[in-house]
Order: sequence, then C-alpha cells, then structure tokens
Amino acid sequence: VSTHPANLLEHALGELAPAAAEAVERHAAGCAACRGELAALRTVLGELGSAAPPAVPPRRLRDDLLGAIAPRPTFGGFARRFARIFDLAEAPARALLAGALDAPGWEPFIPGVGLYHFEGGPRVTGADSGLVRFAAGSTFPHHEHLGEEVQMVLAGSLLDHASGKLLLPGDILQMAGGTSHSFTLGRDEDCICAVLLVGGINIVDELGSLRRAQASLEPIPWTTARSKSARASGAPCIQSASASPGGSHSISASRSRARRGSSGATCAHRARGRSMRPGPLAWSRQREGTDGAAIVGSSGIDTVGLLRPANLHHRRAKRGAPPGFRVGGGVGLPSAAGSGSPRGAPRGEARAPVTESRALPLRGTNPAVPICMIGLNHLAPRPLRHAAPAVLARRILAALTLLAAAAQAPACTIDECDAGETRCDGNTAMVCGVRSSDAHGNGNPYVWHSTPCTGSTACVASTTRAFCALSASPSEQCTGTGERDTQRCDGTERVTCVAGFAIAREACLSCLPVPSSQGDVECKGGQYSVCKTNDDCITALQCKSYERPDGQVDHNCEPR
Amino acid sequence: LALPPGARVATTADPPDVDLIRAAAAGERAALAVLYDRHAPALLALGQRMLRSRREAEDLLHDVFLEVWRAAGDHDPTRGTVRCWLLMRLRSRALDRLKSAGYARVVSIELGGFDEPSTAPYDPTVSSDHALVRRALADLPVDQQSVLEQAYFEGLSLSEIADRQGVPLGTIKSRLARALGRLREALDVAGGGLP
Repeated sequence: VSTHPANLLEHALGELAPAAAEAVERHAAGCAACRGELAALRTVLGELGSAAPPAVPPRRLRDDLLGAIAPRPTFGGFARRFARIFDLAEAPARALLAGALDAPGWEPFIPGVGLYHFEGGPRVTGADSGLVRFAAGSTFPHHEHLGEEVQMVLAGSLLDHASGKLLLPGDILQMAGGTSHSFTLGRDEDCICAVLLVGGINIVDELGSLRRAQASLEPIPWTTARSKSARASGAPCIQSASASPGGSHSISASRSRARRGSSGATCAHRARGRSMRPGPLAWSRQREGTDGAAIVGSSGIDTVGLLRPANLHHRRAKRGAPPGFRVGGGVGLPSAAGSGSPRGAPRGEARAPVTESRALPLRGTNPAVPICMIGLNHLAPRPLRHAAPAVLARRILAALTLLAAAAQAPACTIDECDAGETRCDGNTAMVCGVRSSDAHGNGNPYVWHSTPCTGSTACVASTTRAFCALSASPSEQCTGTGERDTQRCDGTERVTCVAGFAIAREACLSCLPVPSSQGDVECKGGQYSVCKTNDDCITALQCKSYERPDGQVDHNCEPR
Repeated sequence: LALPPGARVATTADPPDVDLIRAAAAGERAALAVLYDRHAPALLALGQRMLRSRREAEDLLHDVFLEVWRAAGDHDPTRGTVRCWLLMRLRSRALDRLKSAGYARVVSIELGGFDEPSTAPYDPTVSSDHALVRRALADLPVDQQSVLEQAYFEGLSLSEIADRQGVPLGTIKSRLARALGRLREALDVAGGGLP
C-alpha cells in the first residue's frame, strides 16, 4: 500500500490549506520520489506560465525596479566640487547631497523633470541653486540660456547635442548666457544634476515657439528680498570677489589635475561675445589650454565667482598643459575659430604675457555654443589612456547606451514570419519572434530577429530554434540534450548545450550537478557565484564576492 | 549589424539563472537586472493573461521582482528552476489579487487566448520555450485544455471546476493529471517516479 500523499497535484497548484500543505512538505522532505514528483509538477506548471506570448514591459518599469532596490547614493565623491560651485562649506554640502533625493520639496518642472531647490552660499545669491532630476532616456528640449549656467552631473549620463559630448557623473557643463542647446539623458538611470542657473531659460517647444520657463524656475523660496531687489535693479548681488580665501589654492589644484590628465578644469573661454543679463553675475573662468593659458577672476576664485563684469580678467598660466592635452570647449564643437585653440579664445590673447591683465569684453554677438565643458571625457586622448579600466568600461557602456538611445528609429524593413519559424541564414541565426513595435499594422505580430554568430561560433538550426554553437560539430558533452538549454559539466567547466551542441562554456572552480533540478549544474567560482573564502576569491575565476566568517557577503573580493 | 529595437543577443557569457538568483540573494543588483531582462516578458504576459489588465500586470510584475529581491535566498534549486519559481510566484500573487480584488472569473476556456497580440523583444530562450509550450498545449484534447486553463490561469479549485463543468471531481482530477502528464512528456520533464 502506497503511503505517498494523493494530493501532490493540488499542493503544486497551491490549492491546499496550510496544514495540509505542511503535511505534504513534511512527507516530501523524507521521500525522494515525492520530492522529485513535486519538482516535476512545479516545473511543468511553471512552464505552462510561459504559454502566453511574451510581453515587453515598459522601460520605466525596469528603471523603477532597479531604483527601488538601489542603495541611495550619497554623492559624497562630488561634495567638494559641489561645495565650491555653490559656495558652501563641505560638511553641509555633503549633508545636502546625501539627503536630497529623499527630501521633501521636489517639484515638477516639465514632464520628466523634477526640481529641488536649495540655498547656495553668499557668492551665488541671486542665482537658482538646485538639483534637477531628468527621467532616464528622455530629451530635454531645446532651450536658450538667459544667463549663465553650471550643471554638474551627479548620476546618470547626459549627451549634449550642441557639442556632441557625453557627460558622466562628475562632469560639468557650463553654458553662457545667450547660448542654447538640448540634451538627451542616458537610459540606464535617471540623470541627476546640480545646477546653478542665472537668469533662467527659455524653452523652445516643438512648434518652435518660446515658452517662458523662467517663471517656473524663479520662485526661489530662499532668495532673500535683498537679492531679488538687487537683481531687479540690475545691481550686482555680490561685489568684487576680492575676499576669496583659497582661490589660488584652487588654481594650483586645477593645474595639478591637468598635469595628471585627470578631471581638471579645461574651460574654453569665450573671450568675445559673452552677454551678461541684468543681474550681473558672472563666473570667473579658468582655462588651461594647449598654450597653457588660464583665465581666472581677478580675485583668483576657482570654478565659481560672482564678479562685476569689469572685474573679470584673464592671465596667463605659468605652466603649459601636457602635450596632447586638448581643451574641452574646443573639442568636437563646430568651431569657426579652428581647432587647437579654445573655441572663441583667440590665440593672440592666450599668448599674452603673464603680467597682462585686462578686462574681457562681455557683450557682443553670442554664437549658441557651450563655452566650457569640464570633465575627464573631454580631455582626449591622454586622460583616457590613464583612466582605470573600470572607468573606461563605464564610459564605453554609457556611450553605447546613449548611442542605442539615439538609434531608436524604426527599422526600414521588417520581414514578417510565422511563429515558430527558425533557420540559419548563412552564419546568422534567424528566429521568428514577436515584434517590438507595431511596424506592420497588419495584425501579424511576428518578425524575424537575427543573431549573427560572431567569432568562431557557427549557426545551427535544430527543430525549434536556430542558435549559435561554439562549434559546427556536436559536442560530446552535449550528447542527448534537447531543444532547451541544458547544462553539463565538462571537468571544471560548465557547458550549456542545445540539441547536442555546446553554445557556451564557463570556467568554474568546480562544476557539480544540482540535485533534482532540471539540467542545472552549479558552477562554483563562476562569475556570479559567491565564494566561500577570500582566498577562493583570489584564485577563483571571475568570482566577485565571498562569505565572511560571520556569514555576511563581502562584495569586495578583489585579489590582494 | 544593427539589431532590431529591443533585440537581445544571447551570448555565450549569459550566466545561468541559478547563479543569478544566488548573486541576487547576495545583493547583486546586476544579477536581478539580468533575471528581469530574461524573464520579465514571460512574467508580464502571464500576469496579463491572468489579470486581464496590463496596468495591474505591470504592478504585479514590479511587486513580484521586489519580492524576489528580498527573498532570492529562498529559491531552492532542488524544487525547480528559477524560471518556474518566478512564474509560479507570480501566478500565486496574481491569484491573490484576483481573489482580493473581486476580479470576475469569466475567462474564455479557449486557448486562443494565448494568441493575444503582445509586444516582446527577441529572446531565443523565451521564444523557443514559448513555442514548445504552445505546441504541447495545442496537442492536448479540449477537455484537458479547459481544466488546465481554469485551474492554472483562473485559479479555480478542482471542485469549482467540477461544479462549473458539471462533471465529477474525480474526472477533473484525472483530466488534469493526464494533461500535466502529457505536458511533462512534451517538455521532457523527468519526475520522481512515484510507484
């Protein structure tokens, strides 16, 4: 007489009451046959769920999910630069950055854009200081800057259309008053920027008409009546920034960064044609170009200073930039002034004697181009050569992401097919899948999708699928495998098989079958595995983390 | 070569689900992201199929993956594949919603419902699995299809199905068992070999 429970099926379907379900589980714990039967039932029932044609979730859903599980960034690495820009002490700047994302007070600006205002230091009184959150993958419309703006990327990425430059966390984009541009945000995550804005912006909508966006930005709750009054009257909010402790230190630091090829400031200064709106706030500028010229405020304020226009001077730096060091503002811009010199900065000026000091003209024509971009990625090629591999990889990935975002134009032609069709077209695996957009408009949801078999891989067509196999010949380890991905062990390697062919191999420390699973084998020491000890980490292949003696997982198991 | 929008290329470096779920349990967000990219289309489709609402299904998908993130360590590879674990988890939560929200349990028993237009990216794995399951379902007799449909997608108990169809409970049980048995054969799922 069988003692096996008769309600395994109901249990697998989740129909049993808790007590009955527990009884089945208790029995199965000591009965290998029932465990196997339950596993098989669950597998079949699970697979039944995939009977419906797959449906693409919207991108925002993925972003929301990853955002929900993301550790809250503190942006601590940017605190010093942030503090300089907004004239804050470092400690409050750090605290502000750490708490801003969760702080109340975020307000919508335009769809997909949120603003969070905060109060900057005395030297930026009258300017709008805030954080801006742009929805991932969105495009901020073309807009004109009524005054100057400094925008530092804290998270995400931003592709500036005017310059073609990609900005990543830590990069700074400066726009002069009168310039205009638009930009696209990276798709992987929302882009968060710290923005210091003078005078507001005008957004040009799709119909080409101007929409006054300044009004939305204007209500700055912390702006004092005094500064508003000063702005309205056209009087300077801050007088000559003669008191700027640390200004010369900042310049030295900048030169030091430049020598290292790191993210030093490399502003291309538009010596001519910069317009200051009423409410004369101006950035002091520094420039380190191929000729070593630097432009700074007379006070020596570093990145940000609020000066009377007449107090903006330039002077020649004592030390030239390294060979091959290109200036950000001159890179990739449609420059009428030619390359090799910061855009808009005449070579004659740059070669001026060190002792020369003169006021820059601040009014005139204003070509609508950014005047200054600061950041590692704008200092090609030397900084890239010296960048850490991880940084390079991150930049390349972000660039590819943005390129992909830019390449979203629908395909010119789409070949229709019938569900289930598959074939090899030369060395390209063709599988009939559900379309990702309604390109046909004829009710047929299926189109061909191609996967080129690159490298030494070869396209193989089995009964239900075409795929790229590691070799055109069947693999001994894959003998007897069916149409679905099945894993086998080949020594310490894990082999993924389809229809007798190997499609992937992964090096492991050890490879063992997972008991009772449907073809899974466990690859210890593989890319996503958790090692037992840090020593394993060091010797393991691509292992990323390990279990500490206290049971916690340490994600920093880099080889010592 | 440009891939179509939403296309996904299966690479030889694709890690197996069982490693990803372990990595997710260890706090590896990237691993959950890979799992999401790999299985969300199937899960969303199942959610839509059961809840009959795209918006509800999207909410459900989000909740299920959040739950998976918190409970990834609960996955026991001896009890089934990650994919099935995810699908069954979503099914269970969908049934909870159906019951709590008072959804009308009026669903066509026609498996033509599986043909509802959807938008999905290319995923060779999902595509081949989808084709296999569809073929296996299509090969079932209609009476077995209907039991499966009502038990699985609508969450009706076997006795409720028996009432609805006006046949004895034992008949419903045997139809369901036969349907699952044929699916197991078609999908090449080995069992524990109960005597």
